[in-house]
Parts: sequence; C-alpha cells; structure tokens
Amino acid sequence: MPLVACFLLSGFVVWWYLFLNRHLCLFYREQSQMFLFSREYFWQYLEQPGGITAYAASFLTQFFYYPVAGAGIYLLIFLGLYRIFKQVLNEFSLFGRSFIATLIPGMLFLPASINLQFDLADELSVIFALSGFILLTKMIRNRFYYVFVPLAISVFYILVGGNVALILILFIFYPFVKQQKDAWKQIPAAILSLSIPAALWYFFYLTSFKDTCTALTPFRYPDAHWADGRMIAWLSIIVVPVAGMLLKNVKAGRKWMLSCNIGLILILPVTVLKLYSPDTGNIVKMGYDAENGNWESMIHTGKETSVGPLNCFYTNLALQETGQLAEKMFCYDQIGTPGLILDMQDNFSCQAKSELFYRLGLVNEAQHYAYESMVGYASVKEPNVRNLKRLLECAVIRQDSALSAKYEKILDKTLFYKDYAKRRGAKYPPAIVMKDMFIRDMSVALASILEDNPGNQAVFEYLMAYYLLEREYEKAKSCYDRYFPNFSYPRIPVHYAEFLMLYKRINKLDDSFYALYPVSRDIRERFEMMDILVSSEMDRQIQKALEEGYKDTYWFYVRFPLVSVQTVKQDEKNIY
Amino acid sequence: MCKQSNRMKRTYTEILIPVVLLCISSCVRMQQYAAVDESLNTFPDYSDIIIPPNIAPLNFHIGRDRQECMARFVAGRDSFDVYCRNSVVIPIRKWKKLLKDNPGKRLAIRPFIREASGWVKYRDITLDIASEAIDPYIAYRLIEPGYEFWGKMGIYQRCLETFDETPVLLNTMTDGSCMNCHSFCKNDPRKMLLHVRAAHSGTILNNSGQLAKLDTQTPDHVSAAVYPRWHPGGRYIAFSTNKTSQAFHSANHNLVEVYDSASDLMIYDTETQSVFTHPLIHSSDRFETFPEWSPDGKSLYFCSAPAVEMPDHYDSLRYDLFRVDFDPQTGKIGNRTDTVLQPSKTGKSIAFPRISPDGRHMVVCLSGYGTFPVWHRDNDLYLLHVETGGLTPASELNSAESDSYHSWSTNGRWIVFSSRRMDGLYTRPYIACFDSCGRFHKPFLLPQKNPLFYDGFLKSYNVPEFVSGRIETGIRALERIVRGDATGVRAAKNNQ
Repeated sequence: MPLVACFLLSGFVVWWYLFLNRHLCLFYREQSQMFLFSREYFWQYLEQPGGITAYAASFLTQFFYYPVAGAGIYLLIFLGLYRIFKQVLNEFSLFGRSFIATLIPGMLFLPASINLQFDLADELSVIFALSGFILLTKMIRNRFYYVFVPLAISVFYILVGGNVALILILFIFYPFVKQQKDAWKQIPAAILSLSIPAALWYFFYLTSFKDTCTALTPFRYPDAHWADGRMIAWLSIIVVPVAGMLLKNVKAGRKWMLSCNIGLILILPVTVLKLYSPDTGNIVKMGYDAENGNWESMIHTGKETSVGPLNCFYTNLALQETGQLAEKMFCYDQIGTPGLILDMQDNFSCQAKSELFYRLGLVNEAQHYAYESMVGYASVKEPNVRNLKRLLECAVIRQDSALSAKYEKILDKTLFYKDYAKRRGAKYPPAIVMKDMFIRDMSVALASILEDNPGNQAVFEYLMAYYLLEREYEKAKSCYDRYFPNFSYPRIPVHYAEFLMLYKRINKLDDSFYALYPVSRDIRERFEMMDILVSSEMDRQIQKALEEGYKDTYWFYVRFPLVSVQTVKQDEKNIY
Repeated sequence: MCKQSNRMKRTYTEILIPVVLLCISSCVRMQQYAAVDESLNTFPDYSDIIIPPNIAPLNFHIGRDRQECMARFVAGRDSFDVYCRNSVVIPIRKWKKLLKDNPGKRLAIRPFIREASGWVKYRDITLDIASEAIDPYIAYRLIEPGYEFWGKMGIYQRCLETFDETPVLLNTMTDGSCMNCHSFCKNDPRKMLLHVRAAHSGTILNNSGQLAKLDTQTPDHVSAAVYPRWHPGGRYIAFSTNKTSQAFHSANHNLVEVYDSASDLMIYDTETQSVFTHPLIHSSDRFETFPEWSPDGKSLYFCSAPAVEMPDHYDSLRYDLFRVDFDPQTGKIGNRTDTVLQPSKTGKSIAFPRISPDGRHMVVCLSGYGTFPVWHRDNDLYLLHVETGGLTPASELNSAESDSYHSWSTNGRWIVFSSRRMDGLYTRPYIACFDSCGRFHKPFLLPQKNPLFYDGFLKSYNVPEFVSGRIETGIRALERIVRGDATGVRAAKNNQ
C-alpha cells in the first residue's frame, strides 16, 4: 500500500512539475539565476547562513534547463522529504499506521513551489534540517553532550540557516514525547546552541539580524503571510508531529486507519489542486512564449488567465506581432495603457517591458529594463541568465563589442549557455532610428518615433492603441489621418473603424465622412444599433445588450472600461 | 614477515620511483628556449608602467588558455621564476621582497610559454619600481551600474599591498538602503563620512572615532548634504546640496543622464554641529556643486553654472571652476569669487576638481556638457597647473570611455581614478604615477588575485578614494549608527 501510494503520488509530482507548472517551476526558476563554476560565486553564497544549501540548490536548479531533469530533481526532493520526515515521525513513534501523514509536507511544498519567490533551497534546507534533528537524537548523552549539541547546531545553522529553528523545536519536544528522564535538560542545551549562531551573525554574516534569523525560511519573503503556501508547507513540519502527539492516544481499528489513509491520499492531491492557481504560471508561460515568438500560444494562454496588466500586456504584444492588434485588440479584456506599456512593478514586469522595447527596436530602453530587472530588486538573488542574454543582445545591437564580449564570457562559464551568442545566430532586430530623448510619456515618445519612422507599422499600431485606450480621440484621429495611408491595410481595421464611427458621432459629422473613411456597412449598422441602445437610457438593459453583442468592440471598452481612464477629462463631447 | 616487508618495500620502490619521475618530467623546468621578438598580449597590461614599491603582486593572464608558462621576474640582481598555467600568480612574499629591495629600479618580467616546439621566450614586459609608496588602502563603493533601482551594494576597503577586501558597510545590513559619497579628511581613515539614502537615511560621520548620524536637511537648502569635501583642518566639511534626477537616453551612446535642477553649497562645522553658507556659493540663479579645499584650507574651489531649466537644457549646461577665500579660524567666507577656469567658453563642462596635496596641481573632469560626467563617454581627466592656470589633458590617463572619479594619494605621487575603458559600462579603478616633474604615467588596473576577476564581475567601483590606513570602525558599530536616530544640524546664519 505505501509503495503504491508513493508511486501514484510520484506520478502526480512529475505531472505537477513537468506539465502543470513547467514554465514557472522549471523555466522561470532556471532562468532566474546563473550558476557559475567559480570561487567568487561559491563565496558569495557562503556569506549568508544556509549558503551551502542555497549553493547546492542553485547547482541543481541549473539542470532545469532540461525539463525532465528538473521534474526528476523535484521528485527526488519530494521523496527525500518523505523519507526523512517518515524517520522523524518514527523517532517520535507517531503515525506508525498512517504513512500518508508522512507525505503531507512534501505535498504541501507543491503549491508552495508555484510562487515566483520560492527557491529550491527552501525545501532542500528543510530536508537537511530534519536530517540534523535525526543526527541529534543519535547523540549519546555523555559529558561532552553540551559541547557537541551546540557545535552540531552551529554546523546546521551554517548549512540550513533559519531552518535550524525546526531542529531546535523538534529537539526540545523529543525527550518529552519519549518521556525520557531529565527531559528538561534538553532546553538549556538548545538555548546554549543559539549562542554560536548569534556569534556567527555578529562576526561573520554581514546581514541584518532579521535576515540572519529567517535565512532560507518563508519568513524571509516580504510578501509571505500565514496563509501563504510556502508558510503552510514549512509549518506542516511542526504541525504534523504536534497533531500526531495529540492523536496518539486515540485508538482506531485497522479498517478505520485504512479508510483514513485512503481519504488522505484522495484529499491531499485535491487540496494541492485547490491551492493551485494557474495565473502566475500562465504569465510566466506568456513571457517564455514572447521570448520564443510563440504568439498564438500567448494569445491562447491569455484567454485562460485572469485579467491583469501582464496578461493584457503580453496579449497585446502577441496581437501586434501577429498583425491583429488593430483588428482584435478589444476582443480581449483591456485595462487601459498599463496593459499596453506596463508599469514598473517588479523584476518580472521590467523583463516584460524590456521584451516590448526590444521588439520595437528601442534598444536603449530594452537594455534599461533588462538591467533594472536584473539588479534593481532585492528579490533577485543574483544576475541571471535571462537578463544577461537580453543584455548581450542589446550590446550586440548597440555595437558595444567589449560589453557584449564580457557578457559572452560570463555566459560561457555556465553549463548550458556556453557559446550562446554563436548558437543564437546573427538575427537581431535592428535598432530603430530615432531622435534622442528622455522617455517620460510613452505616447510622446511613440509619436516622435513615428515621425522619424512613418512606415513603422508596429509603432503606429501601438500609438493608436495607446490613444484609443486613453480615449484621446483627437490625437487618435490625427495619428490615423497622418500615418494610416502609409500602410497597406486591405481595409480599415475593425477597431479603427469603430473608433471612426465614434468620432463621427461625437463630432456630429454628416455622412460625407464615409467618403473619406470607408467604414464597412456592417460596422455602421452595428454602431447605429448600439447608439439607439445607449440613447434609450435603460441602463441595465443597455449593459446587458452591450455585453451580449458588443463586448468585442471598442465602443464597449469606452462605455465600460475595466479601469478608469485618467488622462482625458469627461466633457459633453465624450458621450460614451 | 621480513621477506614480506622487503617485497612490499621493493613494490613501493618500483611503483614510487616511476611515479616521482613522471611527476618531475611533467613539470619540466625550462632549460632551453627559443626567443621570439613578439609581445605577449597579457591581461591586464602592465607594460611600461610605474608601480609603487608596496603594491600587491601584479598577477596577469598570458592571453592564452590551457598553456603552460613561466615568468621570470628580474629587478637589479634579484630574480625569481613562477611556473603556472594560463595565469601568472605571483607568490606574495617573493614579490614583496623583490620590490622592497629594488626601489627606483626597473623590473623586467620575462614571459616564456611552452609551445609544441618547446619553450618560447617572448619580449620582456618592463616596468619601473618607484621609490614613493602608495597609500595602503583604497575605499570604494561596489554597485551595479544600474539605472533607477539598486539591489545589493556596499562600501569596501581594499588593501593595496595585498588582495584583502573587507566591507566597511553593506546595505544587506541596513534594509537595502543606498549608501554613497564616502569621503575622508586628507585620506585619514579615522575621519570619514558617508551618506545613507532611502531606509535609515542620514549622514554618517566618523570624527576620530566619534560616530554620529546627522540629518543635514535644513529648510534653506534644496536637499540634504550630497558631495562632500573635508577641510584639511578637519573641522569643516563643505557639502553640495543637489536636487538630482536621472533621465535615460533613448538613442544615444551615453545611456544615463544624471542632472541637477538646483544645487548650492553649504559648510558643516563639526564643532558647533551647524551648517552655514554664503550667497556666493548659494544662489538661486546658479548651480553650485563639487566643492574642493586648497591644502592650506584658505580657499574653497567649486563648480558653478548658470541655472537653466532641466532637463530641457541638459546639453547646454556647462560648469566653470571658481574659488572663494575661506578663513579657517573664523569660518568666514570671502566676499568675492575668482574665476579659475572657464571651460564653458570652449564648449566644455568641468566637474570633480581634486587638488594635489602640495597644492600645485589639480585634476578635473571635462566633458561636453552636464553635471555628472561619469556617464559621459567623452569625459576625460585634465591637469590644471594651479599657479599658471595652464590646463592640459592628462592624455596618459584618458581613454575613449569615461575616465572620471579620481583621488590623490597622501604623498601626491599616485592617483586612482575610475574608468569604463574595459567595456564601456563597468567602472574599474586604475592607478597611475604622478612624477615630480608633474607628469602622469601610464595607468594600471587595480591588481586582483585572479587576473581574470574583472571579466566576470558585474559591479562597478564607485568613487575610489585613497586611505592612509585601515578603517578600523567596526561594521556592526556603523550598522547601529545607521539604524539609530539622526541628529538634526542647526542652520547658522549665512556667513557673510
């Protein structure tokens, strides 16, 4: 039975990492670091408590380059945690007949791992900490006991950082549960053990006291809270034994235990799946697809993801790259210009912005945001492969040969990105020709670029999208008039036609307007229908009708924007 | 038993001797060689430089991978050989002895490479050992040359006689705050200050072991204290107060533009813990910045430009160099400014004036425009002869990239400056000799134990400053001060 359950759950773990969360847990994690075989790299890890484990985790994470290897590593860690936790429970003589309880922490680490801020070292350090506890229980109580225990705790502090707290808590509980004589003597030994880590903090680890105490634990993350997956998984290491102690005296028959075990086997994966939220993984996947030009996949993923700036941003990018921005942009949820250009929020959004600017040919900006993504946030543990690749590309386009050579040399020191520049080939998007400026307002910058590059369709469409999202009708109209004839659109794209209808209505223009702007009959009729609905002043019904028939139009966005549009003041002209 | 023992001995001998012979043959010492009249492309390039007699070993890479090499170091009658692969890592004791015994003499490095045909000797790398020592330490900030945000950073001290680098303060200890503008009074490690920004902001002052955290923001100034210079007497510190912003070029070889939209000067009196200023150095129609004291403490130099709307006119802003009198006894500022240099007339802007300890020379930065030349690729170092007012480019020091922040050694024989010449982005410290005739010599890169260290290092060396000894203030003591409350400085009346 345990073997079968383990086998089934192992399959579940592999499926979880290899198929369900492949991009977040494997691709993103692997790209968010850069393991180097150098002395300097090793030493930088040693400068923090738990550095050796973090180094080992970093070493293992580089193999996520091959997803199968990554899933295998996660599986080994899952089984390792299961094995060591089982031994811990055995030491406490707990859950002897409910082996499934031993799988709880390992299973809870699955949803914990789909957080962008999770690190493999978090789980690995728990395994090492539990091993430390097992080792302590094997120590013989002789006259050197009070020397060996603090020494062992110090060694484990260096190894697992703040997770040494797990060792200490279990170590204090242990003699009480085992009803050993002089159980209270364990407490001074444990307290004494804290002195050496404290000394190490003061003299060796040059970090704040809080960082030193919380190293490699979920408490180190600024965004962690008690209901966080990482926290739940970590606390389960303590909670499960405590629950076992409380349930120890409950007598249950064989059949009852069997049903409990089966119930747990079913409940655990269901709980894990309940805790699973695909949004972050989907966003990471869209980022991956953007780098690899999988535009259709991006659009598809966007549909399955909750509305947010990153989702809108990537969807719009994919629509532009596939020539659909002017045709289908409003068929997807739009949240205003933050979903088009994106605000700087974290390293992830910086990377995404860099992608957009790179695609548009704004190389300095692409470099700016790639750099910001790499070094500008404390959550980024080290310069990473993903940003460095982009910086290398920018340096090549900027013809900074010395700088690109430097980045190349660094990538050459990695295991899997040797000769990256050669393998990548010589296809780089050209830098756009533009006047030098300080970009403070993106619409101003795009307008200026378009002035210098009147045939650049991507910039034109982005600028039009910007104006439409901001409901800057006059600017949109003048941009359309000035640049639209430069491009070979077979007809007026749907959203531009929708905008033109709106413009005509706002400015109360007559039908001679159609001579200049040949909007299709279909769109004209739809607009007229909508206009009647809007003018009928039956709000609820209007909304319903619009939702049913007009959700994919620009008019619907204007009438019911998901976010307030800030730049344009409402006046009598902006009837919608 | 005895027979068995003998057999074992014989077996050991039979095995050991060939092994030892094999080892010896594999590390064959060079006996014969062929000489070629070619220079080896070593990194860093240490040829034709002048080095201080107390500098750390100048380890270098031979420019080829996986090749056995030998370097013979010869100075006077002393010499030693170093066998290695790829990188020449010099034994520190032998190096120190060689330099100590041969000040003022020429040092020749004879490189040999073991090629398929045998040992080949390349052209000597020659350098001169100066008699004058260099300050034993430099202090700098290590930070990624980023744009708006920062990650990990710290101020470090590096022993120039060895490779020891120790942190003075790290932002990992101070909740990720920014720290900058470390400054010393005449390179004295016991008189130091630095600023902390963002979390726990304030100016950390170490005045002969007395630590204090100051809040230098007063209502009369546009910001808290920024660019500092200690008065040589140690009592006063001149600061600029700058309303600084950053902007990013969208299509320019220079990536970042750091500019002031307002700036003035003020002087902090460490005895009265108050700040004072004067209309000549604090005016609304001009931007005054980058203070510098003359070695006698009787003159205050500073850069100043007419105030313009920023950043709209960022490329037309050009600073000139001025001087005002200062009375260290009374703390009075004179009532007229002297124009020392007007590079704006030739389309240049001046920054970072640094006067030599003997007061005869000044090194300044000149670039095409703007306040902060560190990001300007055209920025170069120039030497000003204070007495004659003659300005000449320090051609020996300059490169195609930005060569900027510079500091004089205590004896005035050495200068350290930061340069982006290696890759255009990451600043590295370079050291150059300044001889008694007032000439600079070819600079050399700060030596590292691993000569290829800089290749993989993704941080910049900011504001390298010579320090005449080790900064003994404990890092935890500094952390406590940073985390503590700041004392507000009193604004004294303008000192007219």
